[in-house]
Amino acid sequence: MNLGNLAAYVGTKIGMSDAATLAKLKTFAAERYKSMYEGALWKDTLSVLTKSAAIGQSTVILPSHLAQFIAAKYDATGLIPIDQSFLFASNPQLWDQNGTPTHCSELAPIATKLDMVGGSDRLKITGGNALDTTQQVRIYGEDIDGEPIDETVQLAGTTTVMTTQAFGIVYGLSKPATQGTVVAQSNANNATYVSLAPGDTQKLHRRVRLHVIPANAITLLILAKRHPGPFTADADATNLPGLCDQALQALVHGDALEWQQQYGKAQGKFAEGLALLQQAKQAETYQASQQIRFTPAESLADGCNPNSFL
Amino acid sequence: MPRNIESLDDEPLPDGTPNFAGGLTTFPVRNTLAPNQFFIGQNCSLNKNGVVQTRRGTSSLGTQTGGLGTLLGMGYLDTVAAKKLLVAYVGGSATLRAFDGTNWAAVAGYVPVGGNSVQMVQGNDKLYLTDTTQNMRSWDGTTMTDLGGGATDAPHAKFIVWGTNRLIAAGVTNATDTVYFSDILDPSSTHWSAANRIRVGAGDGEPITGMAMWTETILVVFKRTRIWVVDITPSVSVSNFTINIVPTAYGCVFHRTITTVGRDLWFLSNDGVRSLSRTLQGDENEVSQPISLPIKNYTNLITDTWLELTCAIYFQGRYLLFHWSDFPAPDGSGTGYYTLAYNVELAQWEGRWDGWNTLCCAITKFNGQLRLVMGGNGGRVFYWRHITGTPMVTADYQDDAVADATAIPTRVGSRNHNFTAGQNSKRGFALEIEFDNNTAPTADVKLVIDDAAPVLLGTVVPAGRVQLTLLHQAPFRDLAVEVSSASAKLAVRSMALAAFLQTMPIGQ
Repeated sequence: MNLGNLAAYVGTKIGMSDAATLAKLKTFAAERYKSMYEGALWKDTLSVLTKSAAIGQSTVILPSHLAQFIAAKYDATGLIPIDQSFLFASNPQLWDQNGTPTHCSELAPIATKLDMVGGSDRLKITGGNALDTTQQVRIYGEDIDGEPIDETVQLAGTTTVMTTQAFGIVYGLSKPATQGTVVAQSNANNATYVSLAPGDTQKLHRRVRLHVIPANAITLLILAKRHPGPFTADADATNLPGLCDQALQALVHGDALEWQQQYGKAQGKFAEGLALLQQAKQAETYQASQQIRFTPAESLADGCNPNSFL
Repeated sequence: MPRNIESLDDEPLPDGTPNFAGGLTTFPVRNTLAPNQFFIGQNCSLNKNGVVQTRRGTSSLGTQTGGLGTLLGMGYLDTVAAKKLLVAYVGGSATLRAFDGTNWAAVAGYVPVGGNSVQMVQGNDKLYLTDTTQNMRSWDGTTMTDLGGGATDAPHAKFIVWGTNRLIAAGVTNATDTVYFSDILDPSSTHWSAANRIRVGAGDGEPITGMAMWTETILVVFKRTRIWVVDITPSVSVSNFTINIVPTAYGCVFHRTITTVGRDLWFLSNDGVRSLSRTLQGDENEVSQPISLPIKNYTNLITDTWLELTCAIYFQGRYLLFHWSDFPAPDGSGTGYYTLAYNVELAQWEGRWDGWNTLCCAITKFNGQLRLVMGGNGGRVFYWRHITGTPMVTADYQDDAVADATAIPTRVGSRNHNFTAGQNSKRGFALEIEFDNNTAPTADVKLVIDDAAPVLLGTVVPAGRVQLTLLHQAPFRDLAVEVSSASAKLAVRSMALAAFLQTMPIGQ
């Protein structure tokens, strides 16, 4: 079901199908969809991609369309995900050692798809339309010493403007809606750090830290969850299992009733929606084409003896 | 007022305008109107079902010559030998032109004085013309005859009426309170004896502003602040005519605003449109209310300076008052020519019409068709495409402005709805507008929240019942709805609204 159909369906049920009502229903639907999408690890939301890591490259930066890192493997072995604070306490040498990565952890996301050239760099900001002269680009991050810094740059149409400060890392680079695409490039070598389309306000890139640091170039296979696709235009469809659509209808219907100050009636629709959502989650598990069963062996595994269980 | 809410679901309060039969009412405060009254009626008329809809349009009367300037005189000659509409142009090149039902032609023998109003009246198979300055004329459809300027000839009058087979004149410059009577059946030269004159008002110094025959033998003479009833029974000599004053504190502002409505005379007075019958019935002990009281803020826009640009007529169940409005109106419309329409059959004002520029009018009967014909600023002569029973066509809802058809904008504004809780803030829930038979392709729906400027709620296709949400609007105390279209016929049957009552914030 696409957004337009969903709004029309709920609008019909509440007896209001004018443009203002449909617009409001669409905002309800967009928020509910976002919540449902992020509320479970739906199979339909996963992507697998390959990423290369050069010798000595400890961090892999993921594309911005990925919302959540889940797992990575190298060669025939999966990298064990590990919490960084646990790593610091239990096996800190994994942070610095070179070799074949066996573990991985997730770092805070950054706003650029590349690390800063040379470890610290000024950014050249260029608008894609001559009319973009009033908007401001806001940048914050750290300098090469780890000190927090921020800067606001006023767009000057298609003329390039440069930050006055050099950034060691950029955690945020945001802008309002613009007429053209805004590009941030390296002052050192013109490499593109980020490209923001007219409707984009910011991009974030997830980062994976490898432990240990690769001693040889490697290629990783990464499993990640995508951001939900756009769900603002009438033709935009959900990207979740079918039952989720039914749940979404019920929840949006409940939101509409709350909007109409019918709080009691809304509770019934919320209950219906949540029940359908629960069924959808169960269906993800129970209706999988391949079921894995654990069957006890008749004897103990190698290396175990009855005392192992005492 | 504070309120106690026990239930989880809020109950919406209903309000609305079930129909518009209560008529256009603009003078009272907007939130005091009755449920079926409405506040704005640009180019609106009412039907018997209480539907407010676009007025009918106009069409050009024959093929006309442009550039003739302002038209300030019109009369219809209806005899066995001739049926002709005579019009006097007094702006630009002063001239007379006549329409015979098919063609227009210039009329020789009389050139109106530039800028002067030309009054015309039919009697004894002739049309009589007077313009205050020149000798009076008679016209039989072919020949223009000068009635002379001597002591016993027709006076240079401003107003003329025909009654008891006499031509009656008044408004002579140096005898402003004198009524002149011709001989019976003969207003020609030398038939205006000095004995056939009466002064009205006993020398009160106030000039006569208009006259009209009320019944077969009763002449009504108007001044600005007084009215007299004169019995002109033919068997009585003029010097013995009985003159009675009507006990009022008002009169008539201009001759052309007097019109016969049934057995009554309606006229524009200082304080609005009045009826002579109601005056006689109601003014013995107190001043009665004018008919135009519901729209007094519109009649107040007619200033003393432009009273002689005002005229009125009764036609097909409607009293139409044409006037120049000297100031912007409360509904935001600017200065200009307007028509105030009163539906006599429904006894309600129904709209304020624009686009006609009318200064004079007449009813014609060419080919047996009864038509209201109008002319004025711009010089063109139009007839009103009133409802006749013939199937509706596109041109019925267009004005023939100059050469091209002009769309008629329509705007209906409801009363202020307060959901019977005037002091409380409300949150809007829903609005349903029920449309009647429309040809307008779209209609704008606007909200007037607490008397602020209208804001667009949505543009809709005006068909059947159209529902619009109000949930996204700011809280309000009073809510009015305006529906407008740019062209064709817009017809609105009813408006239904619902809102949630909100309690007063603590501290109020």
